Amino acid sequence: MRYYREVLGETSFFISLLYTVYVALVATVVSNLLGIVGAFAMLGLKRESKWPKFFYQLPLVVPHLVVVILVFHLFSQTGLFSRLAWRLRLVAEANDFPLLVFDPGAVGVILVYLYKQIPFVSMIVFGTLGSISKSFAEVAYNLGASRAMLISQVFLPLLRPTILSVFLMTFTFSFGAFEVPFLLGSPAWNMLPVKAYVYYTNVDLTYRAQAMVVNVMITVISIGLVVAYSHAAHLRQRMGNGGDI
Amino acid sequence: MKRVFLGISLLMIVVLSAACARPTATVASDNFADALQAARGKTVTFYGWGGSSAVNSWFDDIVAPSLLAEYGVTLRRVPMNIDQILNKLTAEKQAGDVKGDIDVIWINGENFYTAKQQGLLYGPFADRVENFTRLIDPAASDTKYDFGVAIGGMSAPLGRAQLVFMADSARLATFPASAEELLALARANPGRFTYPAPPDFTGSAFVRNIIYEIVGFDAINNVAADKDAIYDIIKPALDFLNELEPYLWEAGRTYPPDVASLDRMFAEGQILWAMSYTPLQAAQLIAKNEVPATTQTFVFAEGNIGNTHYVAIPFNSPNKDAALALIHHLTSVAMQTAKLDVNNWGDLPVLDINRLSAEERSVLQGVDIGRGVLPIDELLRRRLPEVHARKVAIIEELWRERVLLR
Repeated sequence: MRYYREVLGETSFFISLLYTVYVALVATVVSNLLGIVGAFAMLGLKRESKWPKFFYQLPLVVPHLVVVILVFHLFSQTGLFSRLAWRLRLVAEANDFPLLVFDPGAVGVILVYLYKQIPFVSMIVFGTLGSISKSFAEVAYNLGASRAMLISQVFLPLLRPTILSVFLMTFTFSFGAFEVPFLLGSPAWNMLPVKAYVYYTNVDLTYRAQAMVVNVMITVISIGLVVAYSHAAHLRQRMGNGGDI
Repeated sequence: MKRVFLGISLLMIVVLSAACARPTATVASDNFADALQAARGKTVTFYGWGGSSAVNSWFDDIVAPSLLAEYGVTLRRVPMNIDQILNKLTAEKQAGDVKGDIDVIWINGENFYTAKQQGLLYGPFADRVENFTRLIDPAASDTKYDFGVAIGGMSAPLGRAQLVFMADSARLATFPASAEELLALARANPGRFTYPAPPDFTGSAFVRNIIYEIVGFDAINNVAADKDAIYDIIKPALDFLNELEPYLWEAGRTYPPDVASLDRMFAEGQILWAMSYTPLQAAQLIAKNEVPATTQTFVFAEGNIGNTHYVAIPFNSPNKDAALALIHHLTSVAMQTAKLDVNNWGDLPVLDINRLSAEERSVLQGVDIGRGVLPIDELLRRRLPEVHARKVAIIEELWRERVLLR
């Protein structure tokens, strides 16, 4: 209990917590928005098109740890884009290229999460979209709805429970994942899982208690999100049943 | 029936407790010649960090065959991290399982402190190793202390590492010989210097080196391992690092997360210097063509931090005579010479050059240490000891609070 008071009493813990929420939230909001757009875009494609499948499978074929290295080679100050910018005389030297990995804004970390999460979000949303009866669209068109109205008035409300649960799932992942911020994060700004690791690897073994406290906090928050998720799933089921007329 | 069962149980308890109490831990022979004699035909088991292929092949391809040829002892090397080794020994100690299977471990710093404290080590044994008494300076600070912990013959030095800086003499005309000169140079070349963020091992050593520069080794060595007390002592050094910060890479808003990043930034020409806790690294990098051939190693005039790594014998080593034979062999001129060779490992020797015969000296000094590095005697002359391992963690914490997150 003493360690809980110690860790939770430190401002650095809350800074870390807020920072973790910031990174996870940005990654989640952006990936959900783009994922939903992607799902609608795929709805417009022909059924036999191979693109959606390719898009879904990409994160399975190329694991995100590989993408960590890719992001590093592309976006670091001596990476491909920096060299390109230098060629195009946009920057005078490597140090002028904005810091996108190891940066306080965690751009590199977020990019990797986007890669992993956008296909996941679109896959789930696309699945639900597919299960929504075609007749809704026909009825809406029949009643004179525009395409925009169809999406905002019919599809989005029906998708809301799905989006909510996907949002929570992706948020929980970004919140609790260790390896990406460990490899691409800024040393000054530790996300919580990295903070736990730094405590754990301290030569002074008494810091392990602090590491455990941080781990427990991550677990508590993640479980809270899972509970919220199961509520959302429950909601979706009810809505889903109501939707299948 | 019940009584028979009870009887058998009791019998088993008696047998088991007897087994637990058996004094199987062998004791090394008093006389070193007897120990070598007893070791012949035995196998010695070495447990240590196995993360470097150069180090592993030094053990497997150079130490093992010569140990077998000269002393008839077979070397079995088991790669394991020291924290796991100590966990294993602690468990064996608690279980009262006196006979272990590790004869020699590779250890230093905080881990040595823990192992000695917990009674996991056998000894003192160092005085019984012939090469130790003949070739190693008993008055050297790293013979007496390991990261500020009194050794007392419980381990024997195997090799030495030292923090060094590297810069390309074609791009940097003068190398900084002190912290103040570094500050002036960083001012003149903003964004061209930085250091890895502690707790990176090398970055942490650099911060301590700056502390030595600003407040002196004695001040930090004498202070108690208490956060407030250490802060009072090292505040001028932290102020110095804050003064340096705006002239560092990215204006010091962030630091490279590890020494590998620093190396890469140096190789890519982003920054003007690099640092390493492997003093002969410049030669290795030049040989691999990763840095320009004009790269040169340097240290501060007042000296750079160095540490020493050691070998020790666990309390329950099954084969202490063979362990002594291995340690004797590891501290021999031949093995220390082979270890110094950059093609093998490139690790500094622990031998006292004044105690070597003229012939031995020429063998050791005949090793080609490669280009771009400092001579061994200069490194040893400009070598400062480490502070107690407990203070290292506190300094890292203070750096984070007072410099990084300021």
